[in-house]
Amino acid sequence: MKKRFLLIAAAVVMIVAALYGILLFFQNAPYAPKTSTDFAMGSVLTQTYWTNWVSGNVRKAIEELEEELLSATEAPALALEIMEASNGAFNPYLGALVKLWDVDGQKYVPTQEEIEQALEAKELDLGAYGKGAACDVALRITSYNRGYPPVQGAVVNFGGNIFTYKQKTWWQPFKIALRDPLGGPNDTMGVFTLRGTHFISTSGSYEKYFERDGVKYHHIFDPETGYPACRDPGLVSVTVITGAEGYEAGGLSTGGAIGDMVSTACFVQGYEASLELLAQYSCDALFVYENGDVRPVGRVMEYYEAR
Amino acid sequence: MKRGDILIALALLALAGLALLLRPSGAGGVYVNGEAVSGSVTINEVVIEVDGSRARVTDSPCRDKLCVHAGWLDRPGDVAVCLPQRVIVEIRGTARRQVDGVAG
Amino acid sequence: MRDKKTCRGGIHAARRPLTPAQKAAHWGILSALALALSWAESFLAPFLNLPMGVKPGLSNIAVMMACAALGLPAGLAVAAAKAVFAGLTRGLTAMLLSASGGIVSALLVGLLLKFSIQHSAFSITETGVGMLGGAAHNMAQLAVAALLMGTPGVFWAAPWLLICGAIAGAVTGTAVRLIRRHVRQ
Repeated sequence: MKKRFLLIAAAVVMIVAALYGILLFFQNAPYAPKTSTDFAMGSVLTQTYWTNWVSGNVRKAIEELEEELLSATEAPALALEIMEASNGAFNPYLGALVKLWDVDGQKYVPTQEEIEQALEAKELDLGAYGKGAACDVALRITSYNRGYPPVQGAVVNFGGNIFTYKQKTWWQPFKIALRDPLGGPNDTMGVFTLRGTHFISTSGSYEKYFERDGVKYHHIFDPETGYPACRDPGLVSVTVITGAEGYEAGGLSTGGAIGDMVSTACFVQGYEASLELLAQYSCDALFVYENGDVRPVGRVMEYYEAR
Repeated sequence: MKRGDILIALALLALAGLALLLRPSGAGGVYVNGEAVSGSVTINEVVIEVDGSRARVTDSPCRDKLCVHAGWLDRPGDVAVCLPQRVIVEIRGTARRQVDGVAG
Repeated sequence: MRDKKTCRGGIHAARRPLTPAQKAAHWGILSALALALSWAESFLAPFLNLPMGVKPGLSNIAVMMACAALGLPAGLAVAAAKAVFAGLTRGLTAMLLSASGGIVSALLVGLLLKFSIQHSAFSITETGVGMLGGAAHNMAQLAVAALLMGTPGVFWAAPWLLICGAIAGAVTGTAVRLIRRHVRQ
C-alpha cells in the first residue's frame, strides 16, 4: 500500500516536473533560433528563424530582387496604383530628386530650377519600395519549403522594415519594439505584440536628414514641392502595419511593398489625408509627432503598447 | 519501482532545478559581424572598444559616423552599424530577449 | 521468494546466456531500432529548438536496451553505429554529439547494470539506471556542444534535457525490467 502510494507520488512529481520543464523550455526558446546578419540592398538584413536553412536563400533572393528592380524601367503596377490612390503623395519616380539632395551623401540644398528638372526626369527610385518588396520575397521563400522542414516562425528585420512569419512558439507572439523617433538609435517607445504574418514599415524624418543654416532637411520628399514633406507639421514618423491575407505559400505577396509605399505616402500627406488610403489598403498605422502625440489608425492599439 | 529509483528521480529533479537557477544568462557578449569578440578590435578601419559585455565604436573613417554617435552599447539587442565600412557591432544576450526586433 | 541465496546476482540473476542466433536477432532488432529512432528524432528536432543538433534522447533507447540485453560491449557498438550513421547523414557535429551521448550513456548503463547488484543497499532497478543513462546522454551532448561552440551558453537547455532524458530513460528502463520479469518466468 505504502509502496504504491510512493510510486504514484513519484510519478506525479515527475510528470509535473516534466510539464514545468516543457513550460520553461518554450518560454525561453527565443535563444535557440538562428539569427544571421548581412548587408543587402545597401541596408542591414537581420533574419531570425526558428529553423536554420532559410536565411541564405532569402538573402540570395533579395539580391536577385535588387537586380530585377534596378533593371526595371517602369514602376511596378502596384506602385502606380498607390501613387494614384494617394493623389500623388507617393511617387516612385523621384530617383533624380533623391540623388540631387543626396541626404546621406553630399547634402545639397538645390535650387528651384534644379528641383523642377529632377521632377521632370521621372527617374525610378528603388528605395521607394525596395525594402518592402524584399520582405515580400522573404515571405515567399519562408513559406515555400519543399524538401525542408517547415519554418515554425521567423522575424526578418530589413533596415527597419519588419516581417514576421507565423509565430515564435506555440503560445508566444512576436514582440517588436518601435524605435523612438525622438530618441537615440537604441531607444524605443513601445512594443507591438503580434501573431501571424505581418509587415511593419516606418517612414520617418529622423532616419536620414541633415541641417543647413538652422533648417532640417529630411529624406522623404513631397512630389508636389520637391522639398522634404511638411504638409503635417510636427509629424516625425508613420508606421504602417499590414498583413498577408489571402496569401498562398510560395507566391508573391504584396503586403510588404504596400506597407513601404503607403507609409511614405502617409508621411507626405499627413494624418487627415491618409485615413482613406489606409482604409483602402486595410492597414493599421501609428502617426508620431514631435510633441509626443501618437495618433493611431485602425486596430493598431489592440496590439501596440506604449512604454 | 524501488527506493533507489525514487532517489535517482528526485536527485535528477533537483539537478534540473539547479541547472535552471544556474542557467547561463546575463549580458551575453559583444559580436562584431556575427563573431564574438572579447577585447577591443579594429575591423575594416572601424575601431571598436570592448569592455566586458559593453562596446562602442570609437572611430571610423565613414562620413556620417553614426556608428560612433551610437555611443555605448550595453543591453542585449543594442546595435551599432557602419554601412560604408560594412561593420555591425551588436550585443547579444543569452537572457530572454526583451523583443524580437525593432521597427522604425 | 525472497531467498537471499537464490537472489544473489540481483538484476542479472535469471539471465540465461543467449545463443548466437538469439544474439543476432537482438542485434538486428536493436540496430534497426537505433536507426529508426534516430531518423524519427531528426524530424522531431527542428520543432524543439535545441541548440546545435542536440537530440532529445529517443534513439538512446536502443543503446540502453543493447546494454541490458547483450551487455556493455554491445551497447557501445550500437552507440558507435548510431554515431557513424549520424555522421554520414548529418555531418561531423552530429556524429560527435551522437557519439558522446551514446558512449557515455552506454558506459553508465552497462556498468550500472553489471555492478549495481553488489551495492544493493540502494536497491535500484533498471528504471533508475535508465533514468541516469538518459540524463547522462543528454548532458554529455550538451557538454560536447559547449566545447564545439566555445561557450557554456548551450546549457540553457539543461533543465529540459535532464528531465526529458530521464523520462525517456525511465521508460526504457521500465520496459527492460518488465521484459526481464517475463524472461525470469
